[in-house]
Amino acid sequence: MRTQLFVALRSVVPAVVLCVGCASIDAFSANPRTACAGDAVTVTWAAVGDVTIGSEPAVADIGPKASAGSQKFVVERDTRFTLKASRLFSCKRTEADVVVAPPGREYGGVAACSTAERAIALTVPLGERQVSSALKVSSVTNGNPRPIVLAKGNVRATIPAGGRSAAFDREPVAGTWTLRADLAAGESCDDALRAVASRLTFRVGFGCGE
Amino acid sequence: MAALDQIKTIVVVIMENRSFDHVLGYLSLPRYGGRTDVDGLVNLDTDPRFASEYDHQIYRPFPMADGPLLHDLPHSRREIAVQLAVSGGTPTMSGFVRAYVEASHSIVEQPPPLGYLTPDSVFMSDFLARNYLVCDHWFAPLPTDTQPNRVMAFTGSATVDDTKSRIIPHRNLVFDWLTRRGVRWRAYHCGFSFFPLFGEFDHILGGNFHSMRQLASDIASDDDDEVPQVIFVEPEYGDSPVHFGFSPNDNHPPDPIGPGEHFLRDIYTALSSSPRWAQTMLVVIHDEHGGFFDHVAPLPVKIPVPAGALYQEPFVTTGVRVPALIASPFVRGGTCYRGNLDHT
Repeated sequence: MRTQLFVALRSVVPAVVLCVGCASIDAFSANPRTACAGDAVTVTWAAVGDVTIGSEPAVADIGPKASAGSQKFVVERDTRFTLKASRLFSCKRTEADVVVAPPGREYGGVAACSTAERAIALTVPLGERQVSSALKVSSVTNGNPRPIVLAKGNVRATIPAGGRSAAFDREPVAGTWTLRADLAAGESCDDALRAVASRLTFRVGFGCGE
Repeated sequence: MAALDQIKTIVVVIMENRSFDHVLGYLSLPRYGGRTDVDGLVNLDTDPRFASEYDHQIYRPFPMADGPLLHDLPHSRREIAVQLAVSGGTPTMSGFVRAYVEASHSIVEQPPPLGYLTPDSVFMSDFLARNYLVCDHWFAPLPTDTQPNRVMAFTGSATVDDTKSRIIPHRNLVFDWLTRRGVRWRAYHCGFSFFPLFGEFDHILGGNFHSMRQLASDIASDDDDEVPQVIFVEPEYGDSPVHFGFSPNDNHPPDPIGPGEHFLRDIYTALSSSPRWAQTMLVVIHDEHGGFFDHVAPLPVKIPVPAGALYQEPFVTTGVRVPALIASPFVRGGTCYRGNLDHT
């Protein structure tokens, strides 16, 4: 009986504390996640409690902020932004990384297969959340275990498995990329998806500036 | 006489919240021996099975130093559905980062769910894996969190599908099952046992529940006719409301895994230094994956909702793979069992 009472109290007390004195974080992001040196990245947050925006390394104008907001910060190198929300009974913390001009990144996701088109396909829109508008393609690599047709705007290239293409060099990374991998003769969608673990990806090498 | 008949004592240890790839996946990596008999980590930079996607960006597993994490990882039933990322009826196992970002609002270059440990962090699991048996297809029974999976382990069915503070309705508690069949059993705890959640205090207050501090001396002093045939050893749970002299050692994030490795060392040392080790089998598993990635899809198993359950939607798969190790003098060292297993 005592334990049942204890269990019941454990259910009720945290709920009461949650209502009156706990911090919480509802949103936090720093975009774009891949930037060039000198880019302004937008940090957006929403929290319950006293909010402090921090960064490592420190950037100008970090510190205490309103509980919800959005602000631009200039980054010169890889930067980890932090959000700390404090209230009477708890403190919450979360992080968002911005990477400046990394050698490259892999993009993609879970693909769909069309029996009618006899192909696996995926669309990958890269926008201001993912990449700086200043980032340019320095190379594209197909890491999938089969050839893909990669397209962006008016540029289109067939890249063998494990192969590389220069067709997109100096194009902006931002934009909508499409990936397509044709089914082999007699191959079913299930078999094709199994062969690529339901994923299509491509790796983009980056460059910043002219 | 079959080897199994010669085993007089089975010792079961259920740790918390780690996936197979996270704890033992390194066994397949070339720099750690490249075991081809273990379905672990391979070709991490290129193999599509290891690609997790969030917002069209691909994240891949990385070596992680043991230590406290900033957050616990998501592992509720709803969050695990995000991690499994079912497409066309098939779990793609590509949503571990997405679930983490949605739960924590943390978007970092190396998302903790994709971290894998290495032998220096899991020294005791590594010792057991190299000297005894790895089970590399042992799944949590259900794709949800602690209580349902532990209830499956201890009763064979789950009347709950989530974890809350409450008395858990149940039938066929393993202690009753063993007692009815005249099987001697004992449970060791580090302080606050899981079993009060079943609301059956006769067992806990009875003579079969001992402190972990008694394990070594009990093993040394038990007479042959009182040696338990089944022993359960519970860690000290990190979310226990009180700690009676033990620090958390259950492996549940955000706590590190190191204390759990020392806990396993203490159990193994107590068992293996006894003459009775020659007739003993130690089983070490984890209750569920705790939000850490794994590349093997859960098994498609329809699990009916039992009578009296506090949920309506049946489970249609097992949970994610968990680390499982079996140590015994009857086990050939450095081997792997590939058959599908779960806690039941």
